[in-house]
Amino acid sequence: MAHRAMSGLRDQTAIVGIGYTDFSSNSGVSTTTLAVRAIQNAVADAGLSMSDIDGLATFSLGDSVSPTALAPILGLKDLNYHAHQFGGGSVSHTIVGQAMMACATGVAEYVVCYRALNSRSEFRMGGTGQGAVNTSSEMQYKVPYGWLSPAHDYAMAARQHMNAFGTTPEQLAAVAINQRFNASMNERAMMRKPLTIDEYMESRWIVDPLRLFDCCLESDGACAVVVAKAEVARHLAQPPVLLSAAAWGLGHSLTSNAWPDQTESAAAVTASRLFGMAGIGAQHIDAAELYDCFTYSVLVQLEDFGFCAKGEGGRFLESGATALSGEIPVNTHGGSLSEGYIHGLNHVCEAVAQLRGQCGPRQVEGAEFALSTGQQGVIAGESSALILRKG
Amino acid sequence: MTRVALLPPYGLVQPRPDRDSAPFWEALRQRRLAVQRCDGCGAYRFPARCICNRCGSWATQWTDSAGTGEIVSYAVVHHPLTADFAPTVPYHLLAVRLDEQEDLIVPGGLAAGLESYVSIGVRVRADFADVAPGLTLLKWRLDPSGPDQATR
Repeated sequence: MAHRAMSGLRDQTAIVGIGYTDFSSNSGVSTTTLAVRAIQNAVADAGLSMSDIDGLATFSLGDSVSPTALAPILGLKDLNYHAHQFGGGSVSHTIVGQAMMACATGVAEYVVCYRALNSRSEFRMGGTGQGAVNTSSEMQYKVPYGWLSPAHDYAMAARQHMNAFGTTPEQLAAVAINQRFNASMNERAMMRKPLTIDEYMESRWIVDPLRLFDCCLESDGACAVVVAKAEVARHLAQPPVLLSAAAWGLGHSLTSNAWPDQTESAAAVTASRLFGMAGIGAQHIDAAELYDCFTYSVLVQLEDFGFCAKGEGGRFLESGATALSGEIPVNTHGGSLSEGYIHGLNHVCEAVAQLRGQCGPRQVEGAEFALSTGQQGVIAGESSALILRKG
Repeated sequence: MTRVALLPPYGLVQPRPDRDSAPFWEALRQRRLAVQRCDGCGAYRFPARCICNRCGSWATQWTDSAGTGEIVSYAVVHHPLTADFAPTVPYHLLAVRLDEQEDLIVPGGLAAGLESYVSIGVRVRADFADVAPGLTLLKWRLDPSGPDQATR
């Protein structure tokens, strides 16, 4: 398989604005309203006007407002770029990478990437009790057994990892505990009370080996980012944050043409493309906002992005290496486990905020490079990721 | 804990066979585990697909698997996501690699009473359960064949 490094696009574009809504378990409003709020905030953050925006991109599982519907609401009559990816976290960073392509080539000037969802009060990832989210024709073989959700896929993968490498529940707990600690310094976070190992161990089983605190939040909320050419970033309202790399991949499934060894995640494929494009290695990353649908996802990505050797993720976590004070701070905002679940786009926002130096008590001092990642829910070889650089 | 038998109507999580997969579900109703085999290169494939992912050939046949394999991974569901499964938690999910080919991995359930024997690498054989009108599912049982089974 050819690895195209796309290095010509390195640092050609920037994220110039980020915007959030509150995160809650019941927004009380539509996904359209959430999207508009986040986008207005991102555009204002950039020091732009809504009329400057000529690109809209999102991803969804049919649970949110599309760019087609949103453009007239925002008063945008003539978009130069729009995209609507079907999927969840796996394509959360794909849409930013593709916006990078649109801006770098001059197709569009300012592209807003957004994700708005009511994933607690409306359409939940367990299919709102109606069965699995119908993400592919392969779901039919699983659903009659009660194999319905990403939690079931990830439990299978975690079990393989535990069997192969001796990964323990305490090591999974370390992910959750570390991130909750970070969230305690994050006013936006839905869960801020520190989590203890006893609380983790006593929490109820969702699907063995995953407990309640191994699973991400379900949230109502929205995030948005504005992508533009790097040269305009310097003239806008915020310190520039460059897109050094973007990568995404798919092609495997749980079955034939398959990836039967789930101890390696889809990130193993995207990592080399990503670092190749950025021209750096894992050792240069100062903060890693790793997609955390489940604690196990963080553990396996630490291995697959090269922060530690395969099989060593659990020990790496236990060593404190991923704490704010450690060698590679992970999910400095608390992540999907504790800040909120905006399907990975809040990880992009946090990476940007870190590189701008705007994270207050949870700031990683001197951060120059940040990694931000998305992974799939239903394990099917999809993932996407960005490397951001302080401009 | 008394396990409640899985009852119809099974309404919320019926599988949706498509025009490619219908023979798989029909074979299950006849108590056969059927997979496709490429007439071009001989490779098996699962799930059902219109062409061979290895050689691209459209020529294919459905063939019965021997129905034996080993557990690739498993999970135990405690939190039911739908009303169908509320009476049956906790229940096992299995991913089983069929003996025919390295990447032939099939989802399925576990026959009752075997929970404590489940482990990665354990050899299993397919059995079938009629769970609802027109719906027959795989229930894996232990299979004593295979070189290491005597030590389990």
